[in-house]
Amino acid sequence: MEVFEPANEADAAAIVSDAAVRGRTLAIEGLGSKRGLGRPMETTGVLKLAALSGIIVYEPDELVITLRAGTKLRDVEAALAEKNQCLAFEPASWSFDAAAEATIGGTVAAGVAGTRRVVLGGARDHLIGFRAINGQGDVFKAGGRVVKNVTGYDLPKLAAGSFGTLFAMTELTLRCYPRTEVPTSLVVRDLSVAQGCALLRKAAGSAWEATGLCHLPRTALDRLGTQSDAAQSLTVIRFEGSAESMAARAKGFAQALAPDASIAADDWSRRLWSELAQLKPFWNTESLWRVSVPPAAAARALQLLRPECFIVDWAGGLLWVEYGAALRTAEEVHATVLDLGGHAMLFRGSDEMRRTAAVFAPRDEATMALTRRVKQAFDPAGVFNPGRMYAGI
Amino acid sequence: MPEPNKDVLRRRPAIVEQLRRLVPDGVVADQDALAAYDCDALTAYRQKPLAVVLPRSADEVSAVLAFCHREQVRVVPRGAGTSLSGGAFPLADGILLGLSRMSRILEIDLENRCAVVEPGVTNLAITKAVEAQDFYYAPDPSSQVACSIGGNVAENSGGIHCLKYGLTTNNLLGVELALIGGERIRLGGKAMEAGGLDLIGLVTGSEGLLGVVTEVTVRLLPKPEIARASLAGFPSIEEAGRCVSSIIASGLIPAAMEIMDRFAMDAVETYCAPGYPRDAAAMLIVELDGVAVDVASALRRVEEIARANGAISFSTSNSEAERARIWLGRKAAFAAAGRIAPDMLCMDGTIPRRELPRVLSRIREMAKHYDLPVANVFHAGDGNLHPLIMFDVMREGDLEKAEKFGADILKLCVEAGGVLTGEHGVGIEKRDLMPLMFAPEDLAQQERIKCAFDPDALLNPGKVFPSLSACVEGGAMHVHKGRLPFPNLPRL
Repeated sequence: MEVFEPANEADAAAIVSDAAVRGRTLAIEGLGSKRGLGRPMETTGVLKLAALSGIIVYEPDELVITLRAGTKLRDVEAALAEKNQCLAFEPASWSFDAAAEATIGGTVAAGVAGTRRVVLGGARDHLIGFRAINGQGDVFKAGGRVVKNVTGYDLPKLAAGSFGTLFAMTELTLRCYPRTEVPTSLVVRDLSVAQGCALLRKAAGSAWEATGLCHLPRTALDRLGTQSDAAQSLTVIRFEGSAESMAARAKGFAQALAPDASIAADDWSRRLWSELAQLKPFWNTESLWRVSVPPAAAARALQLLRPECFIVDWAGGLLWVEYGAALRTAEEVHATVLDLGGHAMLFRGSDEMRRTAAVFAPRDEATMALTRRVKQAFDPAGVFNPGRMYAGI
Repeated sequence: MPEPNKDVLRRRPAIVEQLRRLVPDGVVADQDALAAYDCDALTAYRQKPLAVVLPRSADEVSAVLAFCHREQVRVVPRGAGTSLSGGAFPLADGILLGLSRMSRILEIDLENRCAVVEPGVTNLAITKAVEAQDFYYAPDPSSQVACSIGGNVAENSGGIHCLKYGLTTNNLLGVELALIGGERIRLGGKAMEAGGLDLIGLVTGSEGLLGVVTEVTVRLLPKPEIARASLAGFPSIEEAGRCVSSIIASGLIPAAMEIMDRFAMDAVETYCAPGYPRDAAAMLIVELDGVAVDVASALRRVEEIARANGAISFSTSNSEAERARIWLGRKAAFAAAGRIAPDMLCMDGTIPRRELPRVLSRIREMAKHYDLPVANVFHAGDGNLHPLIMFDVMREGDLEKAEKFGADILKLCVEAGGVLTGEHGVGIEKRDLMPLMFAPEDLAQQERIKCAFDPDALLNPGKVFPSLSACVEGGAMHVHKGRLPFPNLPRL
């Protein structure tokens, strides 16, 4: 397998154009942190875009940053932190390999989003423009550098979560967001899954502006570095904002919705959210599912899925579901979740499992046909990441 | 617009008869009645459609689309007809597919913080249906009393509160879309993420070129504990613009920031007497919402920043009545400006906020050059300008002059690093300006997406893109650097 490491966008475009003409296929890669995500691919080459890195323009006053796709996520976050800003969708590295770092291009292409997505949206909501190479080697741009923009199709939405199957992004323009001080967490102990999820939904529907809404069973707590004595579960609600308002919000919230809640220590709180973002409970997991469901269906989903370990995030909207061995077939998981109005993704599994099972939830025929035509609109020769999301696309 | 298909025009009686079979009580074909549909809110252009079809159900929409696809009849979807860019401008050889009769709220699901509605439901009706439970639907275009949610999806409508709450696309969970062949697909649902390619994101804002929205699931938000507005007067519009940048730079995200210039303030004073500062050349409304303690401390910072930027007056609402009073004139601004001149063009470019002072003073110079008055009322927090160009269509050459002035403003926006349209859409109004912002390769890529959805270009042709490109089998024609393969062959 040939590895291409272009130094700039023009070289990358020439490589793609050549591949299209010769009927070759390319796996798009940054630093390789997400190689295990999606269906395994067999391509004739790898297009490594790590050299296309660096911040092009960062305008803190405009809350906008433009940077090359290969820029390390860590570097982006450091640059933003210097100006007291952050990426609101709270991306984490999602790395499968401690040695491989995440790039911003891969982060957005994989649709990475953390806990704050429940209120502030995902990668799709924060990517406002990009440049990319399509499957024929043509460079094109879409979107812009301002947030309020309806000029032409909103291709940034399509780029986020496309897993490199449509085009290779070379530059991205993202919204930035003011960074807040230390988060304050309210903790309620020993709720059942159903009770915990109900409280989280009430919190999400309240005016207290919580930005983290998780429920953690004992099995997940045992794998975190945070001490949490003998609680059977913790339901944790995070607030971010000025120190002044934290006390008022936590108190108001507790009075209205959770009289048993206690305020966690700052160190504990900071560590908890950081470890959750890094998916620490699942570092040694062989089979992990990322399950998106209507929030009110969360408890029911967990009852049906019966996982070995799980985490509830997004007030029930997101479930991380672990099976030690292959306790459930992929078909069972997909069917159960689709039936509840959600969709599941096999987030971590052996190559064999990801090759034979549907990694992404199967769609109806008309949607698949449209997905195929959209793929062809960008990549008619099928150069990029063949089969990464769906077999044959 | 694309040349009308003579064959379709000739077959009109048969087409109308067929449509009547598909939608028995919902076909308008009488010439007098069609006059009511000859334009949307871009009233400078008028054209009666071939016929108007008003389905009552998604199945009827599907049947009409399948028929039009089979008979190769063009289709222009229309919600409430409030588009300012001609998004629902009719075609002589196309049917106008009006979704206004599909106006039921199907489900309110507060446990999942969403509502499922038909496309003809008005934007405001959604909020009205859930406000008693302290929820609301965030996007609030100024036409929200009338505009439909289906149209909002098609145009990715914005409003006053986009800075904090986003546009339509950031507030959708699911869409049912009828494709040109009549088949319907469901994208997303009540879950926060839709799974697969983000086709909802692609369809939202596609201006009716990709499909017809037959059902929408919107995200509902809990009403903030409090919303308070402040009103600052400035000696110049440039200083008001600078203040906006400073507020953002300080780390605050207000719910809304709106600027009005003296001209607009005078117009609304005559119209509804909101009592805006009399000695200011421009005013800035800053609204903050959220938890009361946060809002109070943020307002104090806003005042400091405003004073530091030269504000000569500053007041803050202490009740809902006072807040409403601050907004009164802003919300009446378009209507008030409409009283001053017989005709008005409303532009919609967005620019980076730091460019506000420079672009605003340049617009003032242009107004002198064209000798046409212009009022500035706009979403300053987003850098989304709405210069209102006043003219009189009865005066020889005025319309052309106003359009040229408008195009110059949009060119200026693009040069300043901005875009042609922030929320009104491209439609027919800004279609020919698209090359200012996009290179031929960029447009070719977008047009190939159109081909993926609608290879025969039957859905809303003539909108958004300056040229109608032909789709070819197995994807689309490859246009490289603007050069067509076989440039001498005729293409349709």
